Amino acid sequence: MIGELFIIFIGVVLVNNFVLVRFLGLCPYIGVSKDLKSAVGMGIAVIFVMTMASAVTWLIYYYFLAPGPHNVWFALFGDGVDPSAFDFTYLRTITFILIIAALVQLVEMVIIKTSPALYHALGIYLPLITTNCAVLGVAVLNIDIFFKGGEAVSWSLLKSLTQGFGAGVGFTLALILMASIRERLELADIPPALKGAPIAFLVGALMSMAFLGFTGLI
Amino acid sequence: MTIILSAILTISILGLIFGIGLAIGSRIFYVKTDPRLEKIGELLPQLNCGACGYGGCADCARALLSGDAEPSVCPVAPPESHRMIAELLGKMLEEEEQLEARIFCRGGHDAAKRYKYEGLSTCAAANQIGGGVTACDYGCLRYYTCRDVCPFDAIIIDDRGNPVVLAEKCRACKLCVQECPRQIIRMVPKSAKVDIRCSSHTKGKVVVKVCAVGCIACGKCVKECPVDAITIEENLAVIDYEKCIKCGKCIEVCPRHIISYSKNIIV
Repeated sequence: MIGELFIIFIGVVLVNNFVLVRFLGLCPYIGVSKDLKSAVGMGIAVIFVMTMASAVTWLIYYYFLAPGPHNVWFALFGDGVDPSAFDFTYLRTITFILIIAALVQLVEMVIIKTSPALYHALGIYLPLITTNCAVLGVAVLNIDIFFKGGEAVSWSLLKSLTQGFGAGVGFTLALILMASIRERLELADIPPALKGAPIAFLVGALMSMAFLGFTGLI
Repeated sequence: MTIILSAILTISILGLIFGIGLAIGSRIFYVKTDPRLEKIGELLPQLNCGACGYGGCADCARALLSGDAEPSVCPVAPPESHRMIAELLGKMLEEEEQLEARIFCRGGHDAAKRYKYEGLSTCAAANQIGGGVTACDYGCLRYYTCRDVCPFDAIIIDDRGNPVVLAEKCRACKLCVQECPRQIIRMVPKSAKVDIRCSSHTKGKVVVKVCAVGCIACGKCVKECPVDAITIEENLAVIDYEKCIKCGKCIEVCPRHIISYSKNIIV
């Protein structure tokens, strides 16, 4: 069991890194990687939100959208009806966007109340995560991978959580690597035409190719 | 039909749950903020232009509240707002002179060019090749980056191709001053009306070759001025705004017609 979770974790951090292999969340990858400090802040915020989103989206999907005896609507109104009539899985995307947006707002409120210092450190990045496709991506992939034929696989929630946390760690890893390289690039002798974003794209491409080397590790 | 209905119902109910959750959350995690913060925010222009040096008006309001910034930090807000902010914070407001940007070149489309430029249409780019496209080293490049960066549309182009700052629209944010690669835009007091609109420190002989209107440092204005407000500094006539009595005598004698009264700038 623990071995399985470990494989999921390593798989999502290195082999299927969300940024460098799946190409999700590229906007903050280029936009927030100018200095290491904000990259770390953004990374921590993303880890937090991805883990939370994985748990909440899984629960909502399992109890509200997926057909079966565990469906809340079926339990309330399903007398004498086939459980498959309560299949709302086609509402997955819109529901997940709703969940993530609400969740980020709630997390923001909690952080303002409990730790204003952390709130100022995260700054603008926290609300930015609302529209980050990597967060939606991890929620959707959790459902794709850990629901086989509409039924949850064993330890499905825990695996989703691991994948969510791992995706956040992978994102942070990519962001920190990129930020470190870009801080050095500031001092490097680069042709004027390539300064700024162009060289960042080239670096991103090379890093992506390097990460593709992990394919087949597991 | 049932599918549409159940979809709408499911999403509405989920939305309702989240809405109620957020409403409860905002009560539980309510944070008391200084009521002055909101009031200061209302007094600031909310344009988020960044002219104050802070990341947007909300940041500026926080800096004002914590005492890091002076009440007059926002160059865009009108003086009444500065006064009200100072009142809110219990601070004294230092009276400051109102500034406006002014562009010190009247070369226009007649000014000589070094070469035909067909590159990126920004001043910074046009200034990089061979010392700049305009033959005069101090002349406007006329790719009008200043007009493009102005958040208040205060810079227009007159019929001779010169960018002109409209005094009534300029709110002294200094963005154009920072952008101009030739540094011919300067901040001057709004009260300074008479101006010599040339920045050229080149000798008169050279100026005549490249520009129809540039200052040739002939010194006629210096002789004419009754209060000795004009001096020649490095081949350029300069007006001391504090001495100037706005009599307009220099405007009449200038053989190059570059001294102007700031109201009738467009000829």
